[in-house]
Amino acid sequence: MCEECGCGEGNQVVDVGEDILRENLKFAAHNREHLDEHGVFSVELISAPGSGKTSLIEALSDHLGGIGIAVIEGDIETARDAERIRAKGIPAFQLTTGGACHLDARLVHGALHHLSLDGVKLLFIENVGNLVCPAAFRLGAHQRWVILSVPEGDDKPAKYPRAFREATVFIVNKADLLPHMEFDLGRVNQEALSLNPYLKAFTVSAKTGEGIPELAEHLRSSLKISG
Amino acid sequence: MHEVTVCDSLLDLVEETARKHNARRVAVVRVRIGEISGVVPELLEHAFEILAPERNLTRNASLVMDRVKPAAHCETCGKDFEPEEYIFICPACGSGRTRLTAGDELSLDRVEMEV
Repeated sequence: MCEECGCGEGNQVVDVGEDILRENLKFAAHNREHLDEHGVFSVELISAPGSGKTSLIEALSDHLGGIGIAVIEGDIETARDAERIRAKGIPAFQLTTGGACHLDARLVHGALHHLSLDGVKLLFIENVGNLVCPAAFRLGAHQRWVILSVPEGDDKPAKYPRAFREATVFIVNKADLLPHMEFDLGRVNQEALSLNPYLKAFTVSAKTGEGIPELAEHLRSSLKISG
Repeated sequence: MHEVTVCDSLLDLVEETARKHNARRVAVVRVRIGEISGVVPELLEHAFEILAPERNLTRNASLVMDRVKPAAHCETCGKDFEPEEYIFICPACGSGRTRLTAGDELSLDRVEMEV
């Protein structure tokens, strides 16, 4: 018996070379295709619970007049977030995982069957509040935003590297609390950018509206580029 | 992270391969795990010890894990380097235009089977 890998004689060895999370990747690719076919640009939001994902969508929607928006909400339980979005006149579909701590591409695929994309140009997918697990499960969105709020502390990027590496936009939310917290904006941005030099960083307050017009402008440019 | 789910997906892939080749049983499952893939090898091993025997084809299979160190390439100066502690700024020229070339793999490399 081979000592290196335990193989025995007479056995057939097959080289496979397949990603173990292949099924999720397949669904993610399918979701992206579906969105592209309908001319929809999609943004996935990930963060710890309570960082302000839903509030950010609400705040942005006030600056995106004329752009058809839809939202897929992800939570373990309740439809609270979808209800908030619908109260703003935006169609929302709530996914409840019942226990799973992250959305996966198959769940989003299911949601897309229940959401009309007629007239929709922008789809937000709000993941379950969690800075760990969502990172590894691509949903097929065009852009992934990672959000960190001021009360969470400025040392988080290095503690949750994958979440920051798998995103293209980094948003510090609750900037209105900066005067009351020991949060070093320079430090957090430097740390996030050394993990992922391609991150576009924004500092906002969904509550006061600070920084929201700039973020909305980024979205509008992204929409234009995607055609 | 989610080593049980990952193991489940792994065993699905292994079974698919075994069936394609009409194997009677799987002897060895070899995987590549990147050090920044988020999967903890020991936990995957534990999951495998529990889940593999639950499937007929893999009831006696053993798991071999190849760990892959992270590696990156600088697009500005061409340097290949091993990112220390997730720092992806090029140590030679300080550029941020770098990309990961290895280290986040989570793949089924090969399967050894009795046909």
